[in-house]
Amino acid sequence: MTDKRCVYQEQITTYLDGELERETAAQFKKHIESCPQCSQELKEWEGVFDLLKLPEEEPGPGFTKSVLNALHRQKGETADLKQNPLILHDPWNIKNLTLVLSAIFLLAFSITSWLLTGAEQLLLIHHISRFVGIFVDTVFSLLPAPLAAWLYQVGNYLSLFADAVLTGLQQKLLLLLSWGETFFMLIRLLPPTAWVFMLVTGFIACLILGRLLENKTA
Amino acid sequence: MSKTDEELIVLSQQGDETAFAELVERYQNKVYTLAVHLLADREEGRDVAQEVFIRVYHALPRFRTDADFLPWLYTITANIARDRWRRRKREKGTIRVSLDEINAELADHRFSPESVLVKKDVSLMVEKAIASLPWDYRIPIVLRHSHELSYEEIAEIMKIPLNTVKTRIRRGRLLLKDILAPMLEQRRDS
Ligand SMILES: [Zn+2]
Repeated sequence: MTDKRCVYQEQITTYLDGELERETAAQFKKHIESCPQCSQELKEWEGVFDLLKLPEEEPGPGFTKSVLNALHRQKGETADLKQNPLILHDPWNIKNLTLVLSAIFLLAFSITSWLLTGAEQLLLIHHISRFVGIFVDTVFSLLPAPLAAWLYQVGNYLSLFADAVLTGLQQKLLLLLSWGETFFMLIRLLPPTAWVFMLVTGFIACLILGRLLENKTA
Repeated sequence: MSKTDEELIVLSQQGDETAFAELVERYQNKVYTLAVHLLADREEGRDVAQEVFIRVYHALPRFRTDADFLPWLYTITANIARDRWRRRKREKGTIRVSLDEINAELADHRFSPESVLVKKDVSLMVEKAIASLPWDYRIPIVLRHSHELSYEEIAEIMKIPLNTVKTRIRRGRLLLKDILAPMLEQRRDS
């Protein structure tokens, strides 16, 4: 064998792949007959190609069924997660998100009106704290005196802190209430018929949008 | 009369589960074979194939029916198998089937009473040899040899330039030729 590599050797695998131009392939074939180096190399590569041609495999019986089962399982899982507004790639979810948002809005709306009509409900917090106070006092009376005194001291600080928190909370609630009131005033600015009209058009627009989104993917 | 791929795809897109099952039935061998040859592991290959069809099911609504189905399947299979391979590498460290291992196995066979390798054993060893290649060489080699795709089809599936495909196939083959040399020798002897 000579040290020099024949230029045709570069073409051997491309030839076996059937990716040589017809003319080049003809030339190559002709060369092989006269070049022992290339014909030897060709034989070796033919062996490699023969080995590499692996047979087709079968995943075994029940494969399709396992795929369908996995899909069903997934569907069951996603059915629980359907309220999750983070999954937005599905138009179905966009529709759901709209529904959830309107539900949240309605809930907030009704809570606001409830608070507006009965602002004294805030007293409930004080009732609860008083009840807790009585309960704690009863427990303390059952403990040895020094320990009770110490705990009482700590409890005092805690209740001072809780009081501060509750007062702050109450102020926040009152702020929300004033917002609600402003909102109510805004609502009253328009006649009820206008609101009904807006609600109906909004609902119809939602329906049409949902239909359009559905059609796009089908 | 059996339905065409396109009909089955359209039906599946409309939520027809039987049509989708028929699609799976039709392509499961191709997908499974590719997965097995890329990972040299039947169990994992089955997992990958299953994941492929689940992903296909979810992606089907976005599939354009004028495109070819099989290349799309191959792309998805290659991606999922690659993720598996990377995860496996992270968890168990590099799994490179070494040349020594293959040679040792060959030596075992050489001295066994039935010195001729059974066809199935040969396939398994070749699978291992392919799985010892770097990932980027493995896909084009497998697609070219066991799936008999052209360079151009492979470029499209892997979404890489044609010349890159050619280079990777050439380099992968040179590596394989070295790894498989003892096996070829033995074949010639027997
Ligand atoms: Zn030559």
